[in-house]
Amino acid sequence: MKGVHRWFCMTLVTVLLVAGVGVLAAQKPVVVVWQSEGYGLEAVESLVERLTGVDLKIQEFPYGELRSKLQTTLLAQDPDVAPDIVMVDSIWLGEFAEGGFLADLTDVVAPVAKDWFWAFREGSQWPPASGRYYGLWYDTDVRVTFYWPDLLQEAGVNPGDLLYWDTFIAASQKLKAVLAKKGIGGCWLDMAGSWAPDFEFFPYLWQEGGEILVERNGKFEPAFNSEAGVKALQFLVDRVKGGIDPQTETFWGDDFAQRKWAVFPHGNWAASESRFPGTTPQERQQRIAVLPLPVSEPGKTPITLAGGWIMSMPALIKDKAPKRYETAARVLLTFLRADVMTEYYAALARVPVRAGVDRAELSKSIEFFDFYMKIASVARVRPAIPEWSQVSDAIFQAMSAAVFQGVDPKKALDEAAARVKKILGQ
Amino acid sequence: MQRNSKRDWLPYWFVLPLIAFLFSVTVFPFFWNVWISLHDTRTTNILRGAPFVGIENYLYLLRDPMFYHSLHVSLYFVVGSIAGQFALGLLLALIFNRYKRVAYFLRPLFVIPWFLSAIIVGYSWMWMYNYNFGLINSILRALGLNPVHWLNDVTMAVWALVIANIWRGTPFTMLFLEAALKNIPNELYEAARVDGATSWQAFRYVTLQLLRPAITINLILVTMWTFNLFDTILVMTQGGPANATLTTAMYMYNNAFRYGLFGYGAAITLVMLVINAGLAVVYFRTVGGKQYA
Repeated sequence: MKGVHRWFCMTLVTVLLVAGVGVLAAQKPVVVVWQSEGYGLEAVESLVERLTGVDLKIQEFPYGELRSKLQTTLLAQDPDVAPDIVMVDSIWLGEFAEGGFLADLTDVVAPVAKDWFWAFREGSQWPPASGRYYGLWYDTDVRVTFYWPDLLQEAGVNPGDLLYWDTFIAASQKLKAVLAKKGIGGCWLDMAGSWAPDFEFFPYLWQEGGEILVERNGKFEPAFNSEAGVKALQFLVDRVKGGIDPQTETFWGDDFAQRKWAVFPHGNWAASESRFPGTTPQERQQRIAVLPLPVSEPGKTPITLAGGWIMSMPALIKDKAPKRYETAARVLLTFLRADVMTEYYAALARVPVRAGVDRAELSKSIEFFDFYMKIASVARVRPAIPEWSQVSDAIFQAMSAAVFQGVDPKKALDEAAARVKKILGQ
Repeated sequence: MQRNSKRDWLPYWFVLPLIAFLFSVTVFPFFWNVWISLHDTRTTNILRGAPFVGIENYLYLLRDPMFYHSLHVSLYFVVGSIAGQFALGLLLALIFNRYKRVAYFLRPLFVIPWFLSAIIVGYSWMWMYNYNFGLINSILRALGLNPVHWLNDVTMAVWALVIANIWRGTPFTMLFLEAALKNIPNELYEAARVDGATSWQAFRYVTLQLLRPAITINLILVTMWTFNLFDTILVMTQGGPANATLTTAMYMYNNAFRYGLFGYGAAITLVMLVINAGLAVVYFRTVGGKQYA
């Protein structure tokens, strides 16, 4: 009888303990994070949960949907349906910050922002260089030239030819002539959408000393129709005239991984594991190679474009749900820890935006890591003004007019600049 | 007496929830849209309260060359799509109505495109049109012909979209008209034959005349869907190259959702609504004949 009694007591205690743990677990604060499809914060989900004691709910949406969902959800002004933390494309910052959608996080992130590289620290502020942070840039990507060394060899092309504008065009012609019969394209040229200027115009504009917009008396003005801009657009026209077919569909590097292109100027994600499943960084480095984007003449800096995502928070969480804001701010700071970011970069092969990450660790897990870091140091970012998507579209239209309709580059850019002036309210 | 009047009101109480639901999902959004179009509503001011600008968005639209360009592109896209869908749909409906066994086997196959979402249709055709690796150019190359820049060419791109849209939309017209054909009594054809009518005359004066109401409704629906279509275009060309496929629906989408100019986007939507309504009236008056005059 005594034994039964003891058994009963022990079972009761165990049940109560399990139930207690369950209740405690259920009481864990939940922090909802929204990200773009494939951004991959899940890679550090359990680490952040362990460090903060919260239950993270990471939800992802296709790129365009994330933007419209953010707009509609935040417009509802109901904290119950809003996320605690949001990843915003760096080019949306001005629009969302100006519109009051994002929380001013200066108090939270300014102390750690010192470790961020200059361009990304500045790029996390609105207005630019105002010292008011709306989050912090989490990762970046750089535009570079990837190629298949064996295909270049087969076509008798020296990789060094891809470093300069004129030899780049000649090399592309040679590649096309030799590889076309095997169903392999020579050189990729992106004219697929409004992001095309990021790949085919802005880097060359910057290399030639030009600017997209300039700020005068607190107002932005178009500057891309300068001599540098015309030269950059002429390079695009010359490439098309030289036989490089502009592509209006993009597969974001999957086609390059499948050897459909010999030379592929693109974002560094084109060489990541997501495009070459089941391969190690070392294996990828052995199979493909990388170079900076071409420059007009020797001695010029191969400036490229760096994109990326900013980790931010909705303003209504800060204004209407102070307790949630407190927890979310703690979680955000944990996400921004150097060790957490190192783990994220290593898992997703992303380019760091700060100095304090473990470079030795990352160089083992990211292909071409040192090269990317070198290129990132000369990369520029786009001005994240509220009207950016309209400005970018106007420039893309100028590129399209020059490429597809034979409009003179100077005329095309001047027309786009007139449109941009109107968009910017001048 | 009192009981009677209570009974009179009872049915209205039953339909009230439905009316309230319809009001919330159709009438309210319409007036909300009108309200937005009368304000300079943008992402950057919507939370603070957008300023009232009256009909400024509509006046701007009248001065906007890109809006006229988009109407021009839409004209090609809508006319091309409808002509193709209607001609093919009617032809298939006539064949299937006459040859039942053929219809039994082929109808399910022909209907498949209509079941697919516009996005899937867009991606499928985008792959088929691909200059380097697409199926269509592979066939052309195999036949010794030059590949075509289907989506890269400013004159070709809109027609490439029209073909894709015809492929998707034809089954609807086919099914719609086939159903209407089945309602035409056989006696009318027999009477026409007795009166000495040729096959063409029977088709023209019997079939087409009796199909008029169905054709009118079909044309109105297909025109509205085609004019408002943007998802296939978004996937295949995003309005490019060089705005060659920027239809009015795409232009509205760009303004409202990409640029965050909700007020201007709402104004374009309402103008599209007026155009759709106007076209419906034209169809009723012309194709519909006396029945709708």
